[in-house]
Amino acid sequence: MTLDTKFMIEALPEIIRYVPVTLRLALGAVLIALVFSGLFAFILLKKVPVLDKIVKVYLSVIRGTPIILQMFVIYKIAPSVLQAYFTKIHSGIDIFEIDNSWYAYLALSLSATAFFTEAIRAAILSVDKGQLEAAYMVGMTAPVAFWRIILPQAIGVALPIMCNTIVDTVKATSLAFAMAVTEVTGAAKILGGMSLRYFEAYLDIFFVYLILIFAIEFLLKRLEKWLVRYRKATA
Amino acid sequence: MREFHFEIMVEFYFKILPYLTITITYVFFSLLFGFLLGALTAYFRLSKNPVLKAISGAYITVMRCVPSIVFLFLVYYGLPGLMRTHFGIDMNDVDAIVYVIITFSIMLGAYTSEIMRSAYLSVDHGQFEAAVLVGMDSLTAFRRIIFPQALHAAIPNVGNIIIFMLKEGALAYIIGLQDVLGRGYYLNSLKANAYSMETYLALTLIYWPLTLLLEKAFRELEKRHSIAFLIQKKSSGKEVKA
Repeated sequence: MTLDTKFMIEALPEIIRYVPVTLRLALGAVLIALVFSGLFAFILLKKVPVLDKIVKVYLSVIRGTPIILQMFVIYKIAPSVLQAYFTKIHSGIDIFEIDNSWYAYLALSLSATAFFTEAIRAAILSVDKGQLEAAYMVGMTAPVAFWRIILPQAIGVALPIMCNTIVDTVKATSLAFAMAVTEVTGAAKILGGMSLRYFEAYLDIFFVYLILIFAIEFLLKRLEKWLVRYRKATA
Repeated sequence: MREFHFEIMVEFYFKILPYLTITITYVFFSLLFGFLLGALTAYFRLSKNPVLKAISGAYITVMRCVPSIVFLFLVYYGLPGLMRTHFGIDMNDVDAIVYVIITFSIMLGAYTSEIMRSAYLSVDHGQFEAAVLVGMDSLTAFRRIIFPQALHAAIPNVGNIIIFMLKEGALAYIIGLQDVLGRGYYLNSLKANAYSMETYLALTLIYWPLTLLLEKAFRELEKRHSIAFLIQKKSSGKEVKA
């Protein structure tokens, strides 16, 4: 097999052009997930009736099905649900004008939300109850005690798992082509298809992902270190 | 929204279900080869040879940083050409499942090596020294002292990796394999994608209970394999005998 290195070099800038799309998808999904996982973790910890059952089923279904299937479902249901809704309120918004990226954010955030929720819940439970009691003893109110005593300690526990989930989300963006969103993998698919040099195109993105995810992991590790810097001060 | 056809969903469910054997086949073989490769990698990683250590470390990093789908494409489009030009082997008639097993064996090799390494390191080294001190040779000490304890530490992670493989393997539909998801995709496309919702619900009702079952089984296994449980079983067994 002869490797067409000329094609690989020519295709590389075309592929790198789509790196921001990949990053945007991952970032959007992570931000959505952060909001909802905070809410869901709160529901689970407070044992809000009915809602906590719904959240539990949600977590179980998401953990139990392939991401690609979740994407199919969102890509199929979300537009028709939205359309039904928009027609009902006579908003005049055309469903076909909504960018596919929005569905991709939603689909990618489903599993990120599930894993974040688990991480946050476990982390908050891991903080010794005596800490909260001590905070009350010195006169802190519940929200202050949560923000200043519980949360900083819980972050240290939750971060490694959350960083893993972020990396997994970046990897999962490679499935966005199933929702007709062109990111790095989608670009390679198109370039490979036009020239019939699939292997070269995929080898290109192999290196792109390798560098990209390696860099993201490195940055997340740094962020993690910075966020738990209090540990050094107390040690 | 279009109305939901329950009977179509049931029909699809039972049409897809037999293809679970395909899914189980690639999950099984990927895990088998993955664990063999992983054991070798973990052994290299823990060895004192710096070259082997660096190679296994690089292998693990690369596998962790690349999405499975990209690696699946590389194997699917690259391996036949490589085999033809370098070994003269024609892979045209090879079934798609072979590419899936090769891809995920290599990926799981990296993941499982980390599981095995951390399980091995979780056992206190003093245990090994004590075993050698009472006269065991190092292989027996590993087999009878280290391995059972490392196995217990690894159980939850092994459960997770099986579930990971079950779900990640669904990507095989992209190279045309008809496993559970692939069959659903095919059946749906035969009907011009008119029954997508029914198909996806049928698929969910196959994958979801299966993962629940696996999760439960591994939780139970972990409990049964815990030292407290084993001691209890042993002592209660003695009472029966006495």
